[in-house]
Amino acid sequence: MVDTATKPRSVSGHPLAIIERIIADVELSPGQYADAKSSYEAVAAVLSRATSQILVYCPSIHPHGSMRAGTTVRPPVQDRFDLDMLCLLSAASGKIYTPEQIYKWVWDALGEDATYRRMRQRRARCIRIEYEDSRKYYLDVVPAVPDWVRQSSSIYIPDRELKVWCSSHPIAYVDDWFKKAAEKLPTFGSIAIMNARSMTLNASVEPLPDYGEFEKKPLQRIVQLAKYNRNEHFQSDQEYQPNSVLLTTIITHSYTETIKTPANNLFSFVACVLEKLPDYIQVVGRDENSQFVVSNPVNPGENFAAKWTPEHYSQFLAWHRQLLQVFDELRDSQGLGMDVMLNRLSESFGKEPVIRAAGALGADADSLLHARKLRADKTYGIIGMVGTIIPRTTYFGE
Amino acid sequence: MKPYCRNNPPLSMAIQVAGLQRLFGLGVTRWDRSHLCWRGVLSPTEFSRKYAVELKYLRNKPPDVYVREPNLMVLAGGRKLPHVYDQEKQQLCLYLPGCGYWTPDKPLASTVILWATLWLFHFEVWLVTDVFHGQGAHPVSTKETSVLANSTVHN
Repeated sequence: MVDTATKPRSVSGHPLAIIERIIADVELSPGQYADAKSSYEAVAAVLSRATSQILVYCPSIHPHGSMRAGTTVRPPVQDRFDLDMLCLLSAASGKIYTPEQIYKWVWDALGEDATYRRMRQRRARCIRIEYEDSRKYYLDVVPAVPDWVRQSSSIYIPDRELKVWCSSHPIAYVDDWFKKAAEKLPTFGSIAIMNARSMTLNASVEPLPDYGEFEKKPLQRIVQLAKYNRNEHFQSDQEYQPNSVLLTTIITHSYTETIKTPANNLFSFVACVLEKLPDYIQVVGRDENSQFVVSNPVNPGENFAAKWTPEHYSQFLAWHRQLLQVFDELRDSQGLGMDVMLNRLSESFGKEPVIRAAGALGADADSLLHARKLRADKTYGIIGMVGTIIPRTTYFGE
Repeated sequence: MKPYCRNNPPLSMAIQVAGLQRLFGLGVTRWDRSHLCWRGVLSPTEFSRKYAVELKYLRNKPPDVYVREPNLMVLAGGRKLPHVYDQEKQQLCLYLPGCGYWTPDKPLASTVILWATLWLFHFEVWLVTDVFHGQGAHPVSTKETSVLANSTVHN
C-alpha cells in the first residue's frame, strides 16, 4: 500500500509524480529496507563467525544488484523482492577449487546455523534464504571468488548446474559506473523553464526540489520506471523480457548522453532518455542471423544480450514503442483532466496501482489542508505548495 | 471552529471585489452594493480541465458556487456527484454551514473560491478512484440536520 502516514507528500498531479507514487509502492519501503538490512546482517554474521568453516578463505559480504543500486522493483506476480548478497571468499582461488566446492562451502557454512539450515534452498548460482511471509523478500546469497587470472576487480561465481565459473562484476558495475552516472543530474535551461512555466496556465508552479517530481535520483527512478513498465508489459509471457542489467545499462548510457543538453523539464528529459534506448543495442549481422550486443561497461568482453535472438529484439522494440506512446499520450493529456491522464497511465502501469496512487494523492491533499499547508495559486487556483493558504473546510452534503 | 462573531462587520462588496480581482483577476465580476457575481475559470492542476465557475453572493447571505462548464454529470458517467446541493445545477457544497467556516467578514476569494478549486481537484481524483478525499459531513437524518456524520464519500 502507499504509505501516506509516514511520507509527507506534495500534491502534484503531474504524471511523473503519480509514477513516483506507483514506484514507491513497489520498491522496498524504509521499514522493509530496515528489515532486509537486519536479515542481511544476520546472514553475514553467520558466514563470518569465528567458527565458520569458510573463515579461512576471508569471506566478505556485500549487497549487490538492485539493492546496491537502489533500483528495487517488486515483481508483479510475486509479492516478494529478490535481494542479492555476495559472499566473496577473497582467499579462495578458482584455479584450485571447483565451482561445486565453493558453492558447497557457503551452503555448509549457512547450514552450521540451525535457523538457516531450514531456510536455505539451492539455486543455480545462489543459495536462497526464504523468510516467513511477513518479510517480503528472499535473500539470495551468491558465492564468489576473486579473478585468479587477471587479478582484476572481476569476480567469479560458481554455476552449480553447469559446473563452470561465470565472470561477474556486480560491485564495480554499481559503484564505479552506475552510481557515478547517477551523480550527474540533468539541467533545465532557464529560458526553457520560463517557457515551460508560462505554458503552465501562466501561473507559477510548485517549486521543484533537486530531483523534480522524483524523490530519488532521476537515473534510479528512470530505471525503476522502465523495469516496472517492462514487468507489466511482459507479465503474461516473460520469455522475451529484457533483463534488468541490460535495461539498466542502456538506460544509463542514454541518461549520460541526454544530460549533456539542457532539457525543458523533467518530463521531457525522461521521455528523451527512454526514446534513445535502442541506440545502445548494437545489432550485428542481418535478419535471422543477427546478433545483439550490450557490453558490460566494466567488462567489455561480457555481452548482456548474448542470449538474444531477433525475436528478443523485436519484442524489446514493441515494448519500447508502447512506452514512448504512453509518454506521448501523457504529455498530450495536459489540460484534458487529471482523470484522463490517470486513465491513460492505467493502461500501461496497471489500473489498481494508479487508483492507489491517485487515492493517496487525494488523501495527501486533505492531510495538508488540515495541517494548513495546502495552497492554491492565484489566477487559476492550481493546488500545491505556493500561493494562498487554503483554509480548512468540511465539505457538506452527500 | 470559532463561531462567527457578530462584532466583525461584513466586508463591503468593494473589498470582496478587490480580493477577487487580486487573486482571480481573469474572472469577470459584476456587482453593486448588495449583489456580486463572479465568473471565472479554475483549473486545479496543470493536467486539469478548465472549469467555468460562477459565484453568486447576496451580501450577508451564504455564497452560492456553480460549475457552469463542463457538464460534471456526463464526466461522472451516471454516478451521483459527491458534495453538491443540486446535481443538475452543479452547485457545490463547499463548507459545513453554521460552523464558522465562512462568515460575511471573510473574503470570498481566499475561502470559497479556494475550496471550489480544491473541490475540483478532489472531483478529478474521484472520477478515477470513486472516493472523494476531501473530508465531508452529511446529515444522517433529514430531520436531524444538526447531527452530522464525518465521512469520506465512497460510491
